[in-house]
Amino acid sequence: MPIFFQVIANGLVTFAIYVLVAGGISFLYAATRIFHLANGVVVLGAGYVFWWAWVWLGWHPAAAVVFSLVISSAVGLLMNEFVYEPLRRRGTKGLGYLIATLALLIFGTAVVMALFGAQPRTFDFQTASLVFGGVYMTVFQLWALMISILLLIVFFWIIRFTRFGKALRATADNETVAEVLGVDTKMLRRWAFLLASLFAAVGGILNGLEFNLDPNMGLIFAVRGFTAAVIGGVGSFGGAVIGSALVSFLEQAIVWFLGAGWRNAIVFILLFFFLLLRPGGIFGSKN
Amino acid sequence: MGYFIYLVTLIAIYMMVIISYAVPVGWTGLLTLGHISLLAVGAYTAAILMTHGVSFWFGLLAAALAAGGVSFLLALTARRIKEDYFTLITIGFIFVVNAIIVNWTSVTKGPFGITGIERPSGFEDPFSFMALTVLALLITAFFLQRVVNSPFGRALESVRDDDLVAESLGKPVAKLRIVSLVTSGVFVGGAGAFVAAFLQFINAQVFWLDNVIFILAAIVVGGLASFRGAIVGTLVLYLIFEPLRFLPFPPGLIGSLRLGTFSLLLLLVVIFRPKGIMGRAQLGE
Repeated sequence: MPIFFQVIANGLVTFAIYVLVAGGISFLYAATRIFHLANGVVVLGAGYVFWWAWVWLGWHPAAAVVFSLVISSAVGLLMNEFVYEPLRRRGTKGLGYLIATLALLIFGTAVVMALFGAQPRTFDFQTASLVFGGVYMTVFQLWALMISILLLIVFFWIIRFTRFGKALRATADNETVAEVLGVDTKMLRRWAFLLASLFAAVGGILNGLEFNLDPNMGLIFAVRGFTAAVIGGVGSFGGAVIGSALVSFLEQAIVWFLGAGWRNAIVFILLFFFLLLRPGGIFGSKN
Repeated sequence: MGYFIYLVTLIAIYMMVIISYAVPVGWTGLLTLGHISLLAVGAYTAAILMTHGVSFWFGLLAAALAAGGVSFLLALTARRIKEDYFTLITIGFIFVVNAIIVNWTSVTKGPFGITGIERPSGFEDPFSFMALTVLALLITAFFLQRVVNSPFGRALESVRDDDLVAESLGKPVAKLRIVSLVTSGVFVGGAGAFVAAFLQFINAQVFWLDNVIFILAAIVVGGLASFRGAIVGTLVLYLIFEPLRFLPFPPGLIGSLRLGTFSLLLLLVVIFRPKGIMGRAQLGE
């Protein structure tokens, strides 16, 4: 039984990080019809910029966090402005964006690898361990979980109760009608990218502190993010949360019982069956 | 001279993969990224058989059949789901094949890879192996050229341009998608046997992202739905990258430079010239 609870506890930690990435991918798809896999680059870049400012330059960690968030959201906004918007003006649909986002993802990974090297980078950072009835969690892990849940609440509030959220939901429903009714969809997309990039950047910083940095993380986060988003139902807030939880707990169970080598493969087999049997995801429509 | 023979053999093998890859992506409009893993299935099938005493020719046949079979399973998913979800599934397929290669150590030797693969008997020296590879490329090109220029090829293009219209005109859309993926898979599997015999050593790293982005960039830069485009794209990418090898960069930087060059080129073409150098179609119009 303690093993079961330990798997749940480990799953909660990865959940806290995945949901920030998956949530961004999911609601960006609803708002813009783009599968923004390059959000993985934002996760990756945020971690490395934070590492560079804190460990390399020796800044105060709070300043490093702010710096990392600014750079990462700038990267997200630039990707929208100089890649997706020109494609949109030409009337591109699904697969055109998909090639572009893949190219961005790989390009971002290559840039990080060129600047920081292929070897993992570590933080000299440790917090005390707490034991709850045989289950170990560190103080940092609890903090990560709280920060993530707090951001989710803020996010939910923005979507539900602000003018921006209302415009966003209208655009997701029908872009043309929203535009006719006076929504500035171009500006809206900018805000959507800003929000998704900020979330992904927080995820990237938390991930760096918990699991170290590795240039391949961009791709890994992109695929975890879209897997969680698709399993939950793309475009649904609850779906991204449930999807991330499912992927995180499944992953931790696999790591515990089968070994880490099978983690990606089995998560993908789950995605495979979802797409075949219920392509709309848990919260989506049947088709 | 030795370097020249090496380069021609390598480019011939890449071209075999790339013109086979061009059929489902360029003509049928199915953006699969899983071809690098079909290549892995072919290469591993051939390598495992050949290191157990089977001849190259039988290994080649088995590689083509194995990759064709796996391609069929992957193609079954393309029947029902939206096209961008199919692409996501093929990314997943790369991870699944990679996990099998790395973890099924009793058969694939895991991370160490398979060593001591021999060249086909009678073609041991580099020159005659190059000639054999070029011959295989010509046969592949001849066959696929016939396929895409037939009425069948035009039916594939109707699926790419608008699958609903194709369906309403009575084209068997699902079947066309499957046949194009399996045909292409068979040839990529065969090319896998050549990869194994050429490198004489294979591991999971050979079939990872560098080459996914390379073959995708080659057909997009060259232009979709065009054979000449795929061939020109391959040559252009090689000519851009090959000189980098001779510049005094630290070896650790070469890998990221390669990834960065190909992905940036792919991005620029998608933004500024979506039909590539001589393409007849573009994805996601």
